[in-house]
Amino acid sequence: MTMVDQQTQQQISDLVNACGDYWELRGIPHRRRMEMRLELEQHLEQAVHDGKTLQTVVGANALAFAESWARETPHQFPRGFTLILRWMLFDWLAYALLLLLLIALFEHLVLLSPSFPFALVHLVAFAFIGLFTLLQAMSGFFSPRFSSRENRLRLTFGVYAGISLGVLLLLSLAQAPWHRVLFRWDWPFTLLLILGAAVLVGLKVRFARDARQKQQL
Amino acid sequence: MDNRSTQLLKGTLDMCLLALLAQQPCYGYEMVQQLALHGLDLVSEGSIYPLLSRMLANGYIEGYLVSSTEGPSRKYYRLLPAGAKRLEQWQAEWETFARAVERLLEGEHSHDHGRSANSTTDLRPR
Repeated sequence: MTMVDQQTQQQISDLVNACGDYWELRGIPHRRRMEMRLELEQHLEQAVHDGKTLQTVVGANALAFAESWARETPHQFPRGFTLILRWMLFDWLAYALLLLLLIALFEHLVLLSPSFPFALVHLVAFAFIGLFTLLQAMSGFFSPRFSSRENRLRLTFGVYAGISLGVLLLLSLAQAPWHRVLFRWDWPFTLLLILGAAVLVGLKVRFARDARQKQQL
Repeated sequence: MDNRSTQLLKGTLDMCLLALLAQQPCYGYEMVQQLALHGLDLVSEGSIYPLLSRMLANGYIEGYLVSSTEGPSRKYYRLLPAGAKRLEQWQAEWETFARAVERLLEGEHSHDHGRSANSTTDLRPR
């Protein structure tokens, strides 16, 4: 039996995490999900020890494998919606707010502008951040095909860049009014948003820590 | 395995898994190894897990964790009475089906023999 090298262990770990996140999204209860993760991880490790590839276990499409297992496992539908809401709040909104606040603070402190104009370009940036966090969460499904994590991230970024450029090109061709101001707010509201973003990031860190502890149990 | 064998195994994999569990409790990878020992290689080994989940939900099998001193616990499966009954039914269905196919193939074979015999007769110089 050969030892699993660090890169392969990372591949397995990324794949198991991607499947685990997907099963959470599909509303599979925590305990059952942990068992599924454990079974998959042990199967993958043993298969690699025996000289097989990850594709031998999950097939060419890891997402299809995760879905086929989820379909046959009892699940609760509302749980998926809770997870989407959690993703929107703690991944998408937290990152989007941080970027927006950086721009707003630049306006207030450097350009000495008393109000911040929220324009169409900011809305598009919000959507792109959401897309990137979603693709990043799914990058583990590329594990069976791409052994190194760097290559998986490169591919994820490539897909992201491709979609983003496509959307930007379409909007440019449609002559989108990038700088049209949708609404404005004054600097006290920016301070309030900073407070909100700090709470979100704090909760995100706490939930991530709790999830890690649960997985270890 | 060729594509036809793969399809045949796909259609009978749940029965094969129950048959393995009827012999002894197993964990997932062990089942794959046992199947391979019988000459049944899966294209995607993970395809056993959705089936095991379905059989768990139907009450044919049950899963239980066995703790290990070397690492994390391992999930084993064992057959339940409902599963044993289902296996009997599936086995009976399979035997009927396999006999029917065998009869058909044997019939076709003897028919071919008959044909070739006739053609031999026809080719004889008169």
